[in-house]
Amino acid sequence: MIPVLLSELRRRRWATAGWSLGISAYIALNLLTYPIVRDQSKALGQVLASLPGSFKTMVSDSTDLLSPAGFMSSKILYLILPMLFTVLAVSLGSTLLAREERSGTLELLLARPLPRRRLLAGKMAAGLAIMAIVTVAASAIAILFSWRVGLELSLLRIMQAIGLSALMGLMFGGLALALSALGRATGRGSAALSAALAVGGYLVVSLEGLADWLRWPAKLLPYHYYQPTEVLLGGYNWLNAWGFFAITVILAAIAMAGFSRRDIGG
Amino acid sequence: MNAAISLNGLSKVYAGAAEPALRGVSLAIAPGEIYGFLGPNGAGKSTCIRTLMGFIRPTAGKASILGLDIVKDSVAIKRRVGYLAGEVALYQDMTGRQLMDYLSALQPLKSANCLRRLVEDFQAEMNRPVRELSKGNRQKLGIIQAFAHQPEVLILDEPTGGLDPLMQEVFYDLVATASGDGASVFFSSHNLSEVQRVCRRIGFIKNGRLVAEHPVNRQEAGAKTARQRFIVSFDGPAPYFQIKNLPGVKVSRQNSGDLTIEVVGELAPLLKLLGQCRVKRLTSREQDIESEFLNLYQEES
Ligand SMILES: Nc1ncnc2c1ncn2[C@@H]1O[C@H](COP(=O)(O)OP(=O)(O)OP(=O)(O)O)[C@@H](O)[C@H]1O
Ligand SMILES: [Mg+2]
Repeated sequence: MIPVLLSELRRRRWATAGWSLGISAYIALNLLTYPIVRDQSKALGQVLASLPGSFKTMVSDSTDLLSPAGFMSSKILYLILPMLFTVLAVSLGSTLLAREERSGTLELLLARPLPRRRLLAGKMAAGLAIMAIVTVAASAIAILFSWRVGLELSLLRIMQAIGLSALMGLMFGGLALALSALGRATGRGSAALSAALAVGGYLVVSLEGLADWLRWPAKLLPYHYYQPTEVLLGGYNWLNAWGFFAITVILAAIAMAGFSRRDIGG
Repeated sequence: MNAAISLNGLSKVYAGAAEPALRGVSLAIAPGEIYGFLGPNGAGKSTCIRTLMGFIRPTAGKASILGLDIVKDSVAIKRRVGYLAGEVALYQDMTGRQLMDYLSALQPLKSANCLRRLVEDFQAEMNRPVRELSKGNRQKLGIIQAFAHQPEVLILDEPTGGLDPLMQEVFYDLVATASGDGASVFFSSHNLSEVQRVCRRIGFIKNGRLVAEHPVNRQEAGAKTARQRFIVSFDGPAPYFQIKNLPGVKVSRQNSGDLTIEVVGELAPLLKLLGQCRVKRLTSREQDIESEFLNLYQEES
């Protein structure tokens, strides 16, 4: 398991560095605009007031976009960061196993005395490690720049919100991995399906406040339980995060069970 | 005696396939035996091999390697088996060296010497990324990884594909040495003469069924029971009936007037008779399994 983990990390080291750098740069650049927003909040407030309600619900779960929490949520946490984490996690989930199966190198590994579960565990550990590296980099930069620009928010809560965002991404990655672990047929659509669920979920949930009929289906979607502003303000119900975690664990278990018995290749 | 590899009614129907790819194959390979697996494209050779390796599950039947069940004890089996895939797939951006390091981290080598010798014998390119290697050079890496941990059983799917004649010889030597050390070798091939030369026994699979099995007994090739075939041209009329009357001889006349003579047992009477005739040309054709197998390939299923 360890050699699989290390080899996977080695193979993805530049991509991981790229993701860490990219996400950090996005966070840093946005936070650097905070002083401007704060200083011109009156004028910006008038502009915002004239925008349609759907715009606001699309960019944030906060009603006051100019407050520190509203700024953080609308610029970073509500849409862009979870999407980036989701794309990263789904691309990991849909390639960690499937790429080796498609290219045939999986047989090279399975010809060793390595139980399939352990092989998959190594791959999962690699995915988890990469997500953790990028999350830590993003959190560090967010804390550093929030402090630098004087954003009046608890640094711990900023970290928690970023962690929640990564956790939700991880869950979609788990879905992609489970689909590709169940079989090549389901694996083929794993990335598309997971991404569609993530983006579709976001659209439905961000509009639920405007359309009553969306309220009920929205409750079925993960995005409904992703409330970064609440995290920043300290009012988040962390049971929701445990829900994400539990679903991720269940998906991992499904991946294990599916992969350990099925035919490889073809 | 326990077989090194034993298949008992092994069958496989791929998910969604109408026809079985493997239909009740039974065979047994002894320790130290080299067994060649022949058959037309799509006959089920790779399916059989991949089932043995636990990559795909048998639909029916059982098989064991070194007494271990291929489904239940797959991991234990792999400690003792070396495998080469029909289409060797390696990590494109690793060098041969990195590949061997990775694989031996997953399965420790009994001796580093063995790997070193394999690399030398095959003159393998170890320091260039796999993507830059020719097909034959990739195949060498595939063979090396199968033999490097000195397995007791080797399961090889078309191992000589892409190797040049010199490297094929190196491979034959390697197989012979492994077999001499007690390892069993099960390999598929499309090369009849290779299989005849290297294997002690040959199985022929067609449409998922094992349709023929033949011992190849080189020691007995010249002995009493073996059948030999000659094609003889004569200067003048052929002594057809005289030859026909010899014991243990079958003869037929070709369109050209040449005779095809098959002898079982003693050659002396035939040679004595031919000595009295004006023989223009005599060619010996070992009555090979080859023609027999070619028939198997051609037969309608
Ligand atoms: N993954 C798969 N899914 C469905 N059918 C398959 C799969 N792999 C092989 N088959 C079918 O099983 C049969 C046997 O194929 P197999 O690859 O075992 O043949 P083979 O004897 O190795 O042929 P070749 O000499 O071309 O390598 C073929 O009819 C093939 O189409
Ligand atoms: Mg094949």
